[in-house]
Amino acid sequence: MGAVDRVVRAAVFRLFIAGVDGPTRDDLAEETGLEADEVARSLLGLADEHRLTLSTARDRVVMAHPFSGVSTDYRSRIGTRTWWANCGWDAFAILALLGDGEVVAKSGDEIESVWTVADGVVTPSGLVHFVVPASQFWDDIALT
Amino acid sequence: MDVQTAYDLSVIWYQDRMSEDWVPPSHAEAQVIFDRFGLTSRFWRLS
Repeated sequence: MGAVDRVVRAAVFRLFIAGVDGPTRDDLAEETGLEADEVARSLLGLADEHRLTLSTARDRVVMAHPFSGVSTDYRSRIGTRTWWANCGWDAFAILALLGDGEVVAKSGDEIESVWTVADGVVTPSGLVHFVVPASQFWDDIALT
Repeated sequence: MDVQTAYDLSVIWYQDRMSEDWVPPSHAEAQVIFDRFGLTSRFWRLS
């Protein structure tokens, strides 16, 4: 990663944390002060390096682990703030990054499970299920 | 993986991830982290 890539990648996370669900090229240009074309080139490079995943139009970040730019079955919640996570692991990872809160796993419109993290302790017990071996995580990251 | 391990692993896995200075771990470094949390089966082998 070059210097611009580092700036753009960090800005992606800042915006996700601030509540921007899927920062766009233009969001990132405004956040960093870089030209939109420069941001676009950086995003393509970061996607090629598996640092993030872009929308089909390649102008919006839809995945920057642990954050998701699209709605999923997994949300992390701290107070009134919520973030979409890519998977169960990522939902706990968001709390590991941002602080104590709750993980909400949904199935359809029904709330399936809620876990609470307080002082780093997760309750109740439960399992996160992985279907893809670690060496193949990025073969199809959306499936993973 | 139990949810406590998922959380505890995340604390290490994602530390410094938000920083501009973050350096992606090599496969060997990532494997050491997995091993530390008992993720030692073939499923968790990165290479």
